[in-house]
Amino acid sequence: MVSSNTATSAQALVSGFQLQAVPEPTALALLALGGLGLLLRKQWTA
Amino acid sequence: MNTTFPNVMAQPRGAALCLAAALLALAATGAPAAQASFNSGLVDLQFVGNTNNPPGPTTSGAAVIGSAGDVWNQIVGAADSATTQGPLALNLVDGSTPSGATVTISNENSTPQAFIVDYPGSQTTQNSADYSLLANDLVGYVNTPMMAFEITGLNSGLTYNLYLYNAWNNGTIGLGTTYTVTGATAPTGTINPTNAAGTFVSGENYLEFTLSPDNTGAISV
Repeated sequence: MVSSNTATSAQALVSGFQLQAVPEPTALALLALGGLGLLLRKQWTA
Repeated sequence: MNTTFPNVMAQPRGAALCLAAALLALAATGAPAAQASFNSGLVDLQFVGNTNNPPGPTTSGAAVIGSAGDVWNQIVGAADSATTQGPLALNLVDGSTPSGATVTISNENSTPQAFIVDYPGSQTTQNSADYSLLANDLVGYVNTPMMAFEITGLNSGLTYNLYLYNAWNNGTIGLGTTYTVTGATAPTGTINPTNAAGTFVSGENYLEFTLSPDNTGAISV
């Protein structure tokens, strides 16, 4: 809800907005897990 | 060599599958493809003019967030006599990909003279960095001003950052505005524009909210 703080001016204002979806941590966690798996595999076979 | 690691991690196929799944997940969340609901990316919206008030300048590129070249959705307001508008589909900042989100503007006051209008010319410092965005406003003209807009098509399982912008208004009318955002961690905030800042200053010409949509994927401001 948008409400004016002035009782007599009779206006409520908004010029625009930006809406950003925050990336899910799941995808980043999967990437890290895959990288860790490859690293462990490489270390184990070295 | 002895190891205590589980077999699945010892298998190159297990790690490769895990990596492939991760890459697919990243592609799904990062690509600017049409979305059934707004799951990733950035949506910018500017209110510009209406049939009774010629549009002022339009904005592009970054504001508080975003990048050079970002394309803003520019909604031309309904006529002065209108009390609702929408739902209107919103594109991502590439300017052409549907985000999956829509916005509906409504007046929350039943007073007969209530209507919604864009009010051009409220930001007078024409060379300031924020001028093109803040030059137009969505306005509710009523004795007890209250208006709202609802954003739908969001993912109820995600978190969103919302930046609301407001203009300095010549020091004559509409100096302060309070916003209440459903689902926000701090749901109420006030912008008190006291001067033409020329830059974006929290509390003077914008506010940031962190929020979670309801189980229908909607928020209301």
